[in-house]
Formats: sequence, structure tokens, C-alpha cells
Amino acid sequence: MKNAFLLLIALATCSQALYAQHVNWRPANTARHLVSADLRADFGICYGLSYGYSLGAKMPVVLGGEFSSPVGKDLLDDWRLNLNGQTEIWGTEHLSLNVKGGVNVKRYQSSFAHMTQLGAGLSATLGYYRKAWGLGLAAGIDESLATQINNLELKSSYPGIQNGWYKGTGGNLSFALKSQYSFGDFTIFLNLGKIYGQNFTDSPTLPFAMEWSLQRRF
Amino acid sequence: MKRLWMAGALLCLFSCSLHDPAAPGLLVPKTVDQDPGIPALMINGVLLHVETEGNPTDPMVVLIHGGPGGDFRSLQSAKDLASEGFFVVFYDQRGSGLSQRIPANAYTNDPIGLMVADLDGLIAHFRVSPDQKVFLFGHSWGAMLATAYLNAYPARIAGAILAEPGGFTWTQTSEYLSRSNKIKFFSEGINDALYPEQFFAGRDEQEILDYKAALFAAVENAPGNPLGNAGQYPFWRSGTVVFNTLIDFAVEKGFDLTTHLDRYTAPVLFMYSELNTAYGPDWARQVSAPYPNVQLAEVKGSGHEMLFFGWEDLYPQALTYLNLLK
Repeated sequence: MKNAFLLLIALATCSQALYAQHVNWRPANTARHLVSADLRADFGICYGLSYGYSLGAKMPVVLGGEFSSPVGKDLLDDWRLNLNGQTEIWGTEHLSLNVKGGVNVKRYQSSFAHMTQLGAGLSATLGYYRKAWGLGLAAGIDESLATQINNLELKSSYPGIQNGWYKGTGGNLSFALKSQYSFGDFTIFLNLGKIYGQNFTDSPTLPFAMEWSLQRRF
Repeated sequence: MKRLWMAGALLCLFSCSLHDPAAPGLLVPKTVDQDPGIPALMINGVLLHVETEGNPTDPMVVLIHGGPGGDFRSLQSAKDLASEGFFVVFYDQRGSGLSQRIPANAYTNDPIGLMVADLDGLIAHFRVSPDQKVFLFGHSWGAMLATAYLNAYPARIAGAILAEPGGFTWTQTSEYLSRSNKIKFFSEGINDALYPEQFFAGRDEQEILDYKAALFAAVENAPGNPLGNAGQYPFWRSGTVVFNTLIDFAVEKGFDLTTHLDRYTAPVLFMYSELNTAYGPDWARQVSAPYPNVQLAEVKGSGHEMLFFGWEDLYPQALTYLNLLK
């Protein structure tokens, strides 16, 4: 149990508030496996698949992971892998406060540079949930821990540029309105929000963030 | 427990050996204030990266780069003018290229006026006599800055070559930018530009912001770009703070660089590129209209970066124009 708790704490550090894996905390269907297909707009247009495993009604914890990649001609040159754990820390019949944390690995490749980044994040959602629908407000933080940079064209532009591992290169804060609608074994999640750089000035180009997710629970 | 300590020690060792992304010279080149080996001049209270070519007593041609926040690295073909009897002056504008970085709050409430004053200081530094003719040769934003200078000091300049200025008012410029920066959301180029924004986020250090901006250039010159650029062109550094400051200023206050252009009666060579689909002859006519004496010229086989990709066609036209006014 102690090890499981430590594992959860170790994981408690991914996903921004908007990112999958989403959970309906008052489901009519309490099956343990959650599989989702996701489409979102934040740092480009990205699609992804995620999986979550519910530990059951007695322990309101879902452990899972997500793999996503942006659209574009070069499939899978950029991607993000996220392992996360989430739990309900407070709840009533219809209200729920849950936190999600995890670690992630991101990969970026262009003709200018290749990068791999290790990061961590934490988010919290306060929601009102019925069997068929739910609404919630979410806030999250996503922080880079270390980034390996291999410069390509930028190296020919500036021969003195240094490849290698770099310390944290910043982080994002995200805020979102989350909604969900369940029917049968399926739940549709639609989230709208805004992502800011952690200093609230150096923020993403897209002025909004949006995510659509279709989940099957079985 | 022993394994935990070992893991902790390894983690500590790893984190101590990491580079600092904000350290000068690691991800972007050092600037003139950080590297004394770079040729520099103190102009208007700022250390600027300045290089010259030719005889200082010959008629002067000042190259003004684009951006804002670009640099003169891709304009250096203009050194050819030195062998034709011109004294060629290159400079990186304040906060741009290898010139000294300036914090955003140091651009005052009139950043364009400040850059006009820098240009005026530069010309005054190199002008050896009142008889020495001075020509401005501006590209993109640099052609807008040249126009701001001509609008303020029409009598000081013998002629100007303007290569695809976006516009001479903010309304005009934003209209052009909406065409030239058209985003294709599902393209690899936009993905290459936007995806790294989650790798570098929310940091204030200009070294990090400039590196991030360099990655963003991937979309500007991606295959199929509306600017018609054949690929990436050489550059030293993308000056993010100066770019953001001038754009914020323009959005908030607007600008009009044409208020006194009717006083500038010398011929102006106004160049546009064949391959920039966001520009073209109609837009060139519209933008250049406030000049009383303007000559339009197309640069064949090139896109917006015509001083790099189109020099072969541009140079003879520019040289003919300069020789007529020399």
C-alpha cells in the first residue's frame, strides 16, 4: 500500500487540465477500463488515444496514459506520451473535486532541431456530475524538467550553438470549462479553455484551447 | 534505501550538468555587448552591430533589414555595390540581430521614432560631408522604416530603394500580414512552428524567447509558403522583444508613415517579387501611391527575401537606379 501511495505521488506531477485522460466520476457504468480517442487544438491540431484503469468504487483512483501527436505531413515526428494518476479527493452526491498528476515525455522534430523533453504536471477539476452529464472547472500546470536539444539547420546558421541537455525551459498554466455527456457505454467530453505561459506574457499562439474526446467504458 | 540514495545522487549529478537555456551564446549567438569581437558602434545610447564596405567618401547606401527583429545577414550581397563606387553601411537595428538587446520598457512610447533616431545617428556618424549623397535601401519592415525616415527628413536622402514594405499605415500592414501569414492549420509547417511552444513557455529571458522565435521561422519558409521563399535564408537572431514591442505598439496606437511623403520628390525605386503571392503589382501600386515620384520594378524568380534569393535580378535594377542618382 505504501509503495502504491509512493507510486501515485511519483506520478503526481502531467497533464494539463485540458488533456486526456478524462473521467466521469459519477458514471452509470462502473466498468474499469476507459479507452478514449481525442482531438484537440492547443499547440497545433493534435489527435490521440488514451487508456485508463479504474481501481474500483472503494478506491476512487484512475491510472492511465495517453499518446498524442499533431497532424501534418510527417506522421509521428512529434508526439507526447503521458502517464498519469487521478483521484477524487472530495465529493458529495453530485459534486466532485479531483486532482490529476503525471509525468510526460514530448518529442519535437523539424529541419531546425530535434528535442526530447521530460516534464511533469498537476491539475484539479471541480465538477457537478449527474449520471448522463457533467460540468466542471479545471486548472492545471505543466512544467518542463529537462530538455535534450539536437540542433540541425540552426547549427549551420550558428555553428557555436550547443547541443545537449538543458534545464527546465518553462511551463504553462491552463484553465478550462469541461463538459461531458454519457450514453450507454460511451461518454463525450468537450473542453474549452485557455493556456498561458507561466509568466502570463509568453503564451501560445493559438488564443484558445479546445478538446473533444470520445470514451468507451467497459 | 541505499538504491534510493544512489538514484538521488545520480539525479543531482544529472541536474548539475544541465545547460542553462538562458546563458549567452548557448542557443543563440552572443550580441555585441557580450562579444567584443563583433564590430559595433554606440549610436543613440545603444550598442549596434555595424559593418561597412567600400570607400567612406563615396555616396552612402544604408541597408535596412526587415523584421522587426531580423538582421542584415541575408542582405550582404549588397556589398557588391562597394565595387561600383558606393560606401555600403549595414547595421542591425536596436534589439535585433547581433545588436544589444533592449528591455521592452526601454522602447519608450514611440518605438518607430526611436528607430528613426537610431538611423539618423548612424547616417550622421558616417557622413563625411554635407555633399555626400545618402541612399536608403530597405527590405520589408526596413522599407517601412526607410519611409518613416523619409517622412521625417526628406531633404537628407538622395534616393531610396524599397523592397516589399508591408504597408505604410497599420491598417495596410495588418491587411498584408493577414495574407502573408495565412495559417494552414493542418500543415506540417504550422505544426513545426506551434508544437515547440509547449517546450519553451512562460520565460522572460530574451535568449530563450529568441531561440523559440527561430523555431517559429519554420512556418514562414515552409514549402508552399505564400511569401514565395525558396527555403530558409541566413540569419543571426530573431529579436522577439523588439518584434513584440513594435507589433503591440502598432495594434494599440496604429501608425501612418505617409503624412509628409508628398515632400519627397526624388525618384523612389519600389520593388516587389514575382513569387510572393501576398504582394504583387496591385499591392505595390497601392502601397507606393503616397510617393510623388515612384518607379515600380518586379524581381523575377524570387519571393519576399529578394535580396537573398533574387539578387541576380534585383542587383542590375538597383545599380541602374543608384547610378542615375549618384
